This record gives sequence, C-alpha cells and structure tokens, in this order.
Amino acid sequence: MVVTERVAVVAAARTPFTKAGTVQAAVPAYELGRVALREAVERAGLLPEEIDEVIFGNIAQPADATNIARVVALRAGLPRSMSAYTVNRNCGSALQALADGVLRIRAGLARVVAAGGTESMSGIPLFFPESMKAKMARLARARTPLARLEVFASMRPADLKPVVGLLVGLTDNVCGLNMGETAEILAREWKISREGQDAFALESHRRAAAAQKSGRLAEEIVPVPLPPRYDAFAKEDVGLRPDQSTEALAKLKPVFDRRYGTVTAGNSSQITDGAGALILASEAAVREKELPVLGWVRDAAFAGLDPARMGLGPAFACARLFERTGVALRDIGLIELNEAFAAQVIANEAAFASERFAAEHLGRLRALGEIDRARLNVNGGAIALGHPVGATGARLVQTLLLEMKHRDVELGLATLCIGGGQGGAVLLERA
Amino acid sequence: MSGHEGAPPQTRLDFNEPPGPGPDPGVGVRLEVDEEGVGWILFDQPGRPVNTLSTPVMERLRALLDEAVRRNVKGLVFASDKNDMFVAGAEVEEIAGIADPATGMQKSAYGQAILETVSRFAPPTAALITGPCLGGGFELALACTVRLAENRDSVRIGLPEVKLGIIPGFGGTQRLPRRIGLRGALDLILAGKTVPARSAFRRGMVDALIPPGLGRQVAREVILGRRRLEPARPSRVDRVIAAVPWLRNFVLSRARKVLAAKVRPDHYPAPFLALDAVVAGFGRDTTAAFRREAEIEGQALVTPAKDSLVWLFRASNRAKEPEGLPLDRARPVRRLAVVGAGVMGGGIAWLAAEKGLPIRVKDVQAGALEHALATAAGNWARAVRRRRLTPRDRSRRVEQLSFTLDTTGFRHVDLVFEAVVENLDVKRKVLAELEGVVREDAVLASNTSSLSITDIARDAGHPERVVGLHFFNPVHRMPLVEVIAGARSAAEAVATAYRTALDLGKTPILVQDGPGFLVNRLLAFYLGEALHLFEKGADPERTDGILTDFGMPMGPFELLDQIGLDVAEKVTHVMAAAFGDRLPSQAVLARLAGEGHLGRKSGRGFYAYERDRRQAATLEADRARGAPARWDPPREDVLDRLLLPMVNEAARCLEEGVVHRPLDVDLGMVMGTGFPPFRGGLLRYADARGVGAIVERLERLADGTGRFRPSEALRSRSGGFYRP
Repeated sequence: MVVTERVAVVAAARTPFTKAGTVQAAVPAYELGRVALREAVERAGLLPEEIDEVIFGNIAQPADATNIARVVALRAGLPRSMSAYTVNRNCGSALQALADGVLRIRAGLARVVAAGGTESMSGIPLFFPESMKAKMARLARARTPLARLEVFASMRPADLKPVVGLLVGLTDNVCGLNMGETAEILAREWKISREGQDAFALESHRRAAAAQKSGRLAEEIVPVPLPPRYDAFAKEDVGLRPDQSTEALAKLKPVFDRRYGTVTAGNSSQITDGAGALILASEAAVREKELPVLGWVRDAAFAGLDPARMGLGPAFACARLFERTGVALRDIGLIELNEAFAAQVIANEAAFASERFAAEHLGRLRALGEIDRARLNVNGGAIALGHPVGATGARLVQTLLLEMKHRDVELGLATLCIGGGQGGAVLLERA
Repeated sequence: MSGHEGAPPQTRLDFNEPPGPGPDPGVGVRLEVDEEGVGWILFDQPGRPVNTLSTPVMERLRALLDEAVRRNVKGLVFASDKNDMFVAGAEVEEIAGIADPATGMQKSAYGQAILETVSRFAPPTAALITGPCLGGGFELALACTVRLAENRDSVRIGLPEVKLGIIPGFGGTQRLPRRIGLRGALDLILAGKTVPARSAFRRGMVDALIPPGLGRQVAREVILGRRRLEPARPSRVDRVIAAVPWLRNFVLSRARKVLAAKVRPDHYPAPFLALDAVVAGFGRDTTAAFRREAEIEGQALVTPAKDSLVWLFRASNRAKEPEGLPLDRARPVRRLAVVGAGVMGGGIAWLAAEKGLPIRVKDVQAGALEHALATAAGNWARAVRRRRLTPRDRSRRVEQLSFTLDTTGFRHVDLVFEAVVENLDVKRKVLAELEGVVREDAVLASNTSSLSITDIARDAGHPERVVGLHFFNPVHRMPLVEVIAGARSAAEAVATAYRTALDLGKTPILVQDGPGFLVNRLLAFYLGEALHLFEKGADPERTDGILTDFGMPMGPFELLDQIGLDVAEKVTHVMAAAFGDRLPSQAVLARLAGEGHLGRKSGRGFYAYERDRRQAATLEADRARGAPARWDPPREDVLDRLLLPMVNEAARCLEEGVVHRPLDVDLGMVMGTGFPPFRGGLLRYADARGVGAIVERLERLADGTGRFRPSEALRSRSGGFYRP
C-alpha cells in the first residue's frame, strides 16, 4: 500500500517522571494521564472537541479506571462524544498507541488523535493469595454464624501473605524469568562486564543531570498538582542523581543473581510513575487548523523474539523497520533506545554491530550498524529518568523530536525492548 | 368550611371568606383530581421561573382546599409544574410593602391559618419537593403529613427569612422544632441556612429522598397507602430536650449566647426575634404560640433592618439588568485564562473552577503558579472538611485548572483576566503579548484597582476588546465586581465581561473609567480621613471599634492592614493626583511601608498579627506618626468625618456619570467593602439621616483646605438620593 499522507506529531507533554514511592506516589495513573493529555491539547492549540480518538497505553490496568484512556480523556475535558481505548503491549504500550493513531489517521478514520501512556507503578496493588480469595468467597456465602466461624478457623498465615503485584507483573508468564534475569542472560552471552554496565549507568545519570540543569527536560514537562492537599506541584523528574559515582555504583550488590550476577539496581531502569501524551494529526488537518509541527512519523514496526532474551527486542524491531522503510542506521542522526538495563543496551550495541547475529537471527547479510554513543540517549535514559512502563514510548518520541529540532537532525529512531519477548521501533522525521 | 375538626387558630383578625373558586388561570395554582382520587395542588406561576406564596396564591389555595374537601379526595399532593422548582417563599414585593406591625401580624396570621387548614386536613397530605423549597414554601411542606424530595441538584430547603430581616411567620418557628428537634431547627432558622436534598433528608427535614423523575409516582403510592413512609421524628436526645424544661432552656439560652457573639441585636434583630418566636412555642398552648409568632413577625416587618435587607435583595436583582448596557450582545464565554497567579489570580482561578469553566493560569514564575494552586486548593480543602464538597467534586474543580509559564493554550480562550502587578508598563507589555496569541474577539479584562483602563489600552492593536473587571479581595467572599468601560471599549466587550461576572456568581456594577473607579475612590476618602485622625493622635483600636459598632465588618486600620500598606500607599498616590485638594495628606503609610511593615501579610502594620489573628496596635505605627498625645474625638465626630466625605464623593460620582444609579453606589459599598447591609448602603444611610442634615454637618466640619466642603452635586440631592 502506498503511503501518501504524512502524519504529524503536533504537540507533546509529559508529567515529571518520579521514582515510585516518592513525589507522585499518591497520584493515580488516570490523573497523571489527564494532566499530560490536557497540556498536550493546549500546546497543540486545539479545542478538546477537535480530538477524534484517544489511545492510551497502560499495563497495570487499575481496577478503578477500566479503559483508562476514556477516564483520562473525559477528565482532561474532552467531550462525551469522543471515543477512547486503552492498549497494552507491555513496555511498548505508548509506542503502540502512537502506531495505532498513525494507522487510524492513514486509514481516514480520524484526523486528530491523542496517543500516549500512563503508569503509576506506586499504585500497583498488593494482592491477597488465591487461597484467601477462595475463603472470602466462602465467607460471603456463609449464612449462619457457625458457618462463618468455620471459614475463619480454616484461615492460615499463608493466606495473608500478600502477593506483590509489581513483582508478578515484571515476571514473564511463559518463560518464568523476571526482566532482570533476562538481562543477566544477555550480560553473560554477550560478555558484558559489571564495570561496563556501571559506566553506562553513570553516563546516563550525568547526561540527565546536565539536561535537567540546562532546562532541557523542563521543555517537556507539565507540573502535576499533588493530592490530597493540592497545594504543591510535582515539577521535576525525581530519580536521577547528579552526584552518581563509579564508587557508589560499585558498592551495589547484584539484585537478580546474588552470587554471580552483574545487574544491579544502579544499572537498571527505575520503577517510576509518569505519563506522556502526543497529539497526532493528518497533514491536511495541520494545514487546515494551522497547527504547529514537532515532527513527522514515517513508520513503526514491532517484532517478536525469545522471551528469555527480550532485551534484544530493538535489534529485531529495527531490522524490520529498516527493511520496510529502506533506511539504514547510518542515515539516523539521533537514537533513543530505552535503557531497561545497561546490560540490555550494551547487548543491543553488540548485536547491531554483529554480522553473524544479523545473519543468524535477522535474516540479513549485513549487520545493522554501529551505534554511536554520541547520538544515543543524549539527555539520559531510563536508568536515570525511570521507566513507567505504559508511558515510556511517549517520552522517547517527545524527547527525540525536541532534540532533533535542537540539533537540526533529519531522521530519528526511537526503539525499546518489550517484556514477553518483543521489540518496537518508530522512525521520525524532522519538522 | 365543612369537613374540618377543630377551628383554625383564633386571631383577632379573622379573614373574610371569599366566594368559591372560580376559574382563574392568572394566579398560578390549581387543583386536579386524578382517576384514583388523589388531589394534586399544582403551583405554576405564570411569567416567571419561580413559584411564590403571594396573597392571591394563598387566597386561591384556601379555596382549593375547600374544593378538595368537597370532592372527597383520598389525599393531597402539593407539587410544582415548573421544573426544578417547588415554592421559593413569600412574595418579596409584598414583604417590602408592609409598613405597620398590625398589617404584618395580620398577613402572618392569614398564612398560618391556611397552613393550619392543610395540617388538619383529614386525608394524608404530601409535599413533593423538586426544587427550591424556602421560607413559606417549606412552611407549607412542614404542614403536610409527609415531605418527599427528589434528589436533584436544584433542591434547596430551609427557612432563610432572617436574611431578609423577618422571621418564619407561617408557623415555621413552631412546626420545624417539632419535626426535626430543637437544636436542628435553631441551627437552620437563626442562620437562615438552606441545605440541599441529601442534607435535608439526613436532618429529617424531608422524609424520603427519591430519584429524580419518580416523585409523582411515589407520592401517589404514599397517599394511596401502597407505600409505607414513616415521617421523620426528632432523635431521642431532642425529644428529651423538648420535654425537660431546664434542658430546653439551657439549649435555648446557649443558642442566644452563641447568636449574640456573632451578631448584634441592634444591627440584625431578626434572628433574635426568631429565637423569641421559637421560645414562645413552649409553655403555652398552640394557639397562643402561633399568635405570638404572628405578633413577632409584625414587629420584624417594621424594623429598619428588614427594609434595608429586602431593598438590597431587590437591588442586587437589578444588577442583572445594567442600565445602558445591551447584555444580549454578550458573546458566549466557555474558556478562560488568567495572567498573573498572585492572590487575585488564584482567587479568579478558583472561581472559574467552581463554576466548571476551564481556565488556563499563566505566570512567569513557577512559584506563583504553585501559590495560585494552593489558594484555590485551600478553599476546597476547607469546603471538603466542612462536608460542603465531596472529594469527587473537588477533583472535578482541580481538573478545570491548567498551568503554564508561556502563552501556549491561549488560542481558544474567550476571555483573559489580567491580574499582574499594579504597574502600567508591565500591564501594557502583558496586553501586547496576549494580543499576539488570542482570538480577535477575545475579551481582555484587567483586574487593575488603580490604573486607568484607557491608559492600559493606549497602545493596544484592538483597544475595543480591553475592559476592566475589578474583583475584590478575597475573591471567594466579596460578591462585587466593578465592570469598567474604557474610553474605547466596545459595548460587546463590556457586555461580555459583565455577563461573565454574572455567570461567575458575582454582583457586577457598571463603572466608567476613572481614578479608583467607584469603591476605591470612595474608600480613599474614608481611609484618608482615618489616617489623618491617626496622625493627630486618634487611637486605632478605638477608631476601629467605633466603625465596627456602626456595622462595618472591620475598622479602617484593620482594613488598611488587610489591603496591604504597600498597595494602599500606591493607591493613595493615584488618588492624591486626582483629588489632591479634597484628600488629607498623610505620611504614615509611606513610612510604615518603607520600613517593611505591610500589614497582615508581613505580620505587622497598624496592628501585630499572630497566626493571622489581630493583636495589639504596634509601636512602629505610633512612631511613624511621631507619637503624638492621645486624642479621642467624640464618636459622632469620628463617624461623620469618615462617612460623610464618602457620601459627598458619591454624589460627585453620580453627577460625573461614574455610575448611573444610586443603587450602584449602595451595592458597591455593601458588596465591595462590607458596608453594613442592615443600613441598606451608603446612600440609603444618607437618606435616612437626611441629605440636608449631612450638608449642614459637612459645612460645620469644613476647614480652609477644601476638605469636607459639600459639593454642588450633594446639595442638588437635598431631597434624597432615592427620591420616590
């Protein structure tokens, strides 16, 4: 199918990305999404009623906000007549929202779409074990005091032991490994040293701190009024450490394999609360409504791989993207590759550069190419800024487009690994 | 009157029996009997959105009750054919017209008699409340066997008579305590409180809370006995209180004490009279108690406070029709913005959010944005704590606000409030910036208190859309907004701004562009004179006390501290430039402000403030005036020196066309400065004293400098500002 119409990103806004349990811990995911969406609409110079569809990514799916995209949209002041739905492609959810929006616009189903993601990892609940749930059901059915007493008598301490939703969510259902364990596999197979990972992590913090100090990050951020008193805002990203040091990183113990591992809390992405929203519009809508343009979406691609090595997702997705668009890595001026783990990023660097890997796994004669660190995550990444799972894709696209403008770069690539064994990638053009 | 057991309460003044009900569509109440034999008394006054219990309506009601008996109805339901309305009270025009206690008592007895008929009606009676149910409307409902309320947002129930200077005179002071208990009744009656449906149900004011739309069906079921409904009863505690005399007296005397601490009987007699009427219900038989209520109502109806409060009520309704301004040319305003997130900006943002209007809040400093959020959030936190606002509704309000440090999000706003610092250059710059981003027909409204709108708009590309919307501090308490037309402001823009002020729930007055507009100009004379007396040695606490005795919510020195001595200082310069020879000179403000004593906001001014409470007068203030010997001018002198120059200046304002009508001056003073409502306003006070007497007094006070000299404008009003 020949793609004739270009799809623009006309505005973007994100909340501060703050470490779970800190500043924004009490802000529900739908509230984070609301603030980001409202601001994106304002920055686009659009009226809420001009948005045809709202698509939001979210993985925790909080029980009190079913179809969180709709909740976000209504609270952001969009009229009841708009439609909205929520997508879940795990870490790639926001990117998927973007891809869906582009698809709908190209199919002529919409002219303006709001796409984004929101996640409150602080808000992910603790669950009662299944055994407790069964006993509570029996309790509800019990009619007599004696029957109720019987149920209580059958309860054991193990019934009260909470299941940490967050940990369950970060564990792959099919292969049984948690995300960190997949990173350890990559570290081993690609021979990535602890020092190499720590050095990468340090650089991420350094770059993020510099970007925060220079006001570069503030360009992206909209402040969030903080409940319950609403007398202050969350204004800045929390989690990045301007004073991060090699020594401090070296002191940390590996988290996922205590004895032989190299992946620590310091060289992994942080558990974070945050939301981001992008406004997409068809070229015709841009002209007609005189909208500003941050950049253009050329194409997006997703690909599957072994869940146990999900961290290599970017390699697979980018291979597919390059094939479809005819673009090569050397054409790309700036890259955002999500830092789920330092080991995972470094493994991608090696896989991208390896001709053998390309032949064996990507069906290519030639390697994808060398990733130049000077063009990679230039304002820091998730190791410093955090990874609110459903929202990260929106931040990557926003920060990439802004940086492409600042540096006058023609093509940009945003890519991430996806828990469950996928990768996602999107190719962006300068405004 | 066949079919009644027992006679209605005896009064000396029985009504004459009019002939039977003829067909008369004009009055607005009729009887329908449905196929099951349920009688429906339906209110629908033609030509207005409310139903009232005017005398014609009451007369008709009497006749309808007779007819209902003749037709042997199974029961009666009182309901309204108007949507979102029940009966909003008696007719205010009639209340206004009563000028002697005997007539007042007679009207009250008449109403009591009719409602007593309702109460003694043998078959069951029900009131179906689907909107405002206030005053006489609630008294009617109280006379019924049961009260049903639909759970609509428009429902408000209560006895707010004291707010008009009268008391519930149709039996409310007797029936309400018996229905909901003494304590609940006092809480409602003495403050004139009105509550929404759910709260009314909790308090026992209504017996059932029904989903909207099902009211008539449920009422029919209750009347026909198909649905059981127990009328609410007072709690056990309240029943004990009612039965045990010393307990009852304790509660009553405590209520009197609490009331006296809040309000002065010589200023606002009505709540005290209402309490007397409630007390009268104990220790005498019902007939005597009702008569006593009627008697007390007669007294209340002739108090000056009642005249003032009723007049103010009608005057503020007149604010909805500004003279000479075509309100129908106002453009719809759906999206707002405010530039300058200070105290006023934050208050305006709160106000917009309260009315469900999205508002973009802009400032150049992130800290200011936070302050604006905190101002608004503080108001909401208080309301949530007092259970007047649910957390869910609070979230909705927070969601109306969005914040920015630049001009994104201004493209589609209909009206922008400019509330930045009081500096002409800054305001002009802000205006220029806004003109670059807003729509051509967007209205730009400045909240300036001392600068000229015409001046601010001097360099504007489209000066016709620049107007003034001057709010008063604090925004959430002061109802007044001065709507200022600049020399080049277009009627549409002014009308749009005026309509916006109304939509935000404020009372606007239309004011021409001029130094101090209306209220600050008058206050300049009041405060200027106070400062002059201060410099001569007058004691601030004594002076403030004299003015609060007069009825002002606070005296001039506390007011100066509240305004902020730096702000006041700036304003005096502007005023002095315009009215120099008429205003007294003073140096105290500059000295205190220069030393950093800015009043309440800095903790010290004329008084010291601890935890936001006023403490003693400060030594710094005394030093700033050179510590003269204490001088206590006679109370009358203090009052006259402070108030009469305002009257003089108000006459000038009317002559110059600053405002069109004397009632604009009075609304401005009452709603913008808290001038005592029980006096009706500055000019009603002037008329009560007699303008001629005021002119004489001013002549005696006048010194060589031109201060106090009565203006020609004032002399020409010697017959009174409000000539009939």
